[in-house]
Amino acid sequence: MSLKEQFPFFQHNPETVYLDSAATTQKPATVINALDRFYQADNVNVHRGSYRAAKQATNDYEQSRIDVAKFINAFTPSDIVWTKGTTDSINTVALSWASHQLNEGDLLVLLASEHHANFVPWQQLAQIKSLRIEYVELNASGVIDLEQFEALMAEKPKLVAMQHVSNALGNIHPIEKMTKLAKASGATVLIDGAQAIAHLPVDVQSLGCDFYAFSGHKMFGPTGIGVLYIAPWIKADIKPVNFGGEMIKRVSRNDTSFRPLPALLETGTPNIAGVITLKAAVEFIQSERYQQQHEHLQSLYHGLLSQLNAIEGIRIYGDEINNVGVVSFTYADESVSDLGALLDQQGIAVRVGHHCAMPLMEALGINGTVRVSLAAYNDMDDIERFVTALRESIAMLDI
Amino acid sequence: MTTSSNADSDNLVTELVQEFSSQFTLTDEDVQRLLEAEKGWQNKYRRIMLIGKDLPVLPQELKSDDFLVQGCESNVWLTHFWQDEDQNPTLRLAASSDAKIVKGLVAIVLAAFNNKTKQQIQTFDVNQYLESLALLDELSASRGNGIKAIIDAIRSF
Repeated sequence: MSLKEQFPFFQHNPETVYLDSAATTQKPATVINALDRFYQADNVNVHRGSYRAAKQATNDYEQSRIDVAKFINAFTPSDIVWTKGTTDSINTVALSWASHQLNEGDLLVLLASEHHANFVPWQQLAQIKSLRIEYVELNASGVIDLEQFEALMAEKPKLVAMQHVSNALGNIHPIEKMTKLAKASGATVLIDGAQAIAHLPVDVQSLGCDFYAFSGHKMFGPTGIGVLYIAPWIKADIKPVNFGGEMIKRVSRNDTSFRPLPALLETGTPNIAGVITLKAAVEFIQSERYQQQHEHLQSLYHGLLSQLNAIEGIRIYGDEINNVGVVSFTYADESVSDLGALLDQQGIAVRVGHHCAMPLMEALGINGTVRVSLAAYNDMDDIERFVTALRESIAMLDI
Repeated sequence: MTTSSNADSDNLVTELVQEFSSQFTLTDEDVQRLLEAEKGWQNKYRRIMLIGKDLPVLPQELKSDDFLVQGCESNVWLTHFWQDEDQNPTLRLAASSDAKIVKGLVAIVLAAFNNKTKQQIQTFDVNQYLESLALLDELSASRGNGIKAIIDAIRSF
């Protein structure tokens, strides 16, 4: 069975060429079955019931935490906090840690290519608390300026919040080196791993970051479940954000005491189905079949690049050497929305626009790009069909 | 109270809309006839883009953010004024987009509403018009919503 055949989406949509995996990945049958199985057979609440099914659900739920902790090499399973997704994870750091740890005049460093999810929370906090934000610029080919990064570290930032991989361009940033430099300068480091988690091995212990955030739905899992890794040494500085059930130790009329992390940040009945299903997604990524196929992704990516480079008027943005398999481009001075519409007519699913990175588009001096994002289930046939459709679209726009 | 500079810019906008709307003379019947002749999505899309080329150039003054239509994926600017407000109000429109297909759709909508009286606009069955063009089947949901956003904006004038 080919990897593609493990994904029911492609059987339901044989005419669709799906090249939007940076937005969300398709789900393998094992993940869909795990979700189905939970609601069909295993649905009860966790952490409460005294009966057998409740204990089983709690075990499955906590086993997922153990598996995810191993997956990113966290110190202990309790370093893993369940969230709704990367956006929620980052906002949780802003509210549970930054809002009371950062003070007027403190410096925050972000990359110029951040997704709005790792940009707007900091900008808003900076406005409230009069913090200073500096951006690490990208050069013309979209690569981070490491020298400028080093210079900024000399200014002793309090927080460095940066993406592991650019969602708009696919660039893999030198995150190991940057985290090391940032930690050496005394900064707290948050990494937005949304676009890295399906493509790169992540080892939070060797990275040494304080926070690492990612989403289930970009790693073949369901929507609505995300992860926030919190390093053991920073846990004492975390304050609860939401109050209610699950996170309390003891409640009286006069006072409430709280449970430690991860419960502290997991208020209310959690997304049990999402958590349990995420385990199946981790298993899928760790499967030999996936790992083998993923090795071919780079040759698919370079094949796509060379076919696009052969079309006059195409301009490609981003790092073509360190890339997870995203091609972001414009054609002549045509609107990307037109290209998106004409590609859509031909069954091609790509993303057009600013990709939730408007400050990056501004820095590049464009309104948006067409973004083709690959996953391991894509094949040569997808690339051929895409390039043919793109050539047809370009011919049509010449009126 | 309007300051004199605001009044000046209002006058300029009115003047520019007047000029734009008089230059654009395509009618809903023209659009129907043109699109009816096209078979297959490629030809239909090509025709939509060609219809967009019929739109006069939208002056820079009318491309301000104030005139952007909310709910469109690409930039759509739309300005209007009512001529003969008291006697026989006639809607004068100026609009465009930075994308070729959407610009064509803007022209198709303008063909139905531009230089029409209030009464004509009230009685015009825009759904039937769009249906007769068999457009919505061909358009993706987001562009379909975009066209509705433009029509809603015009209807609210």
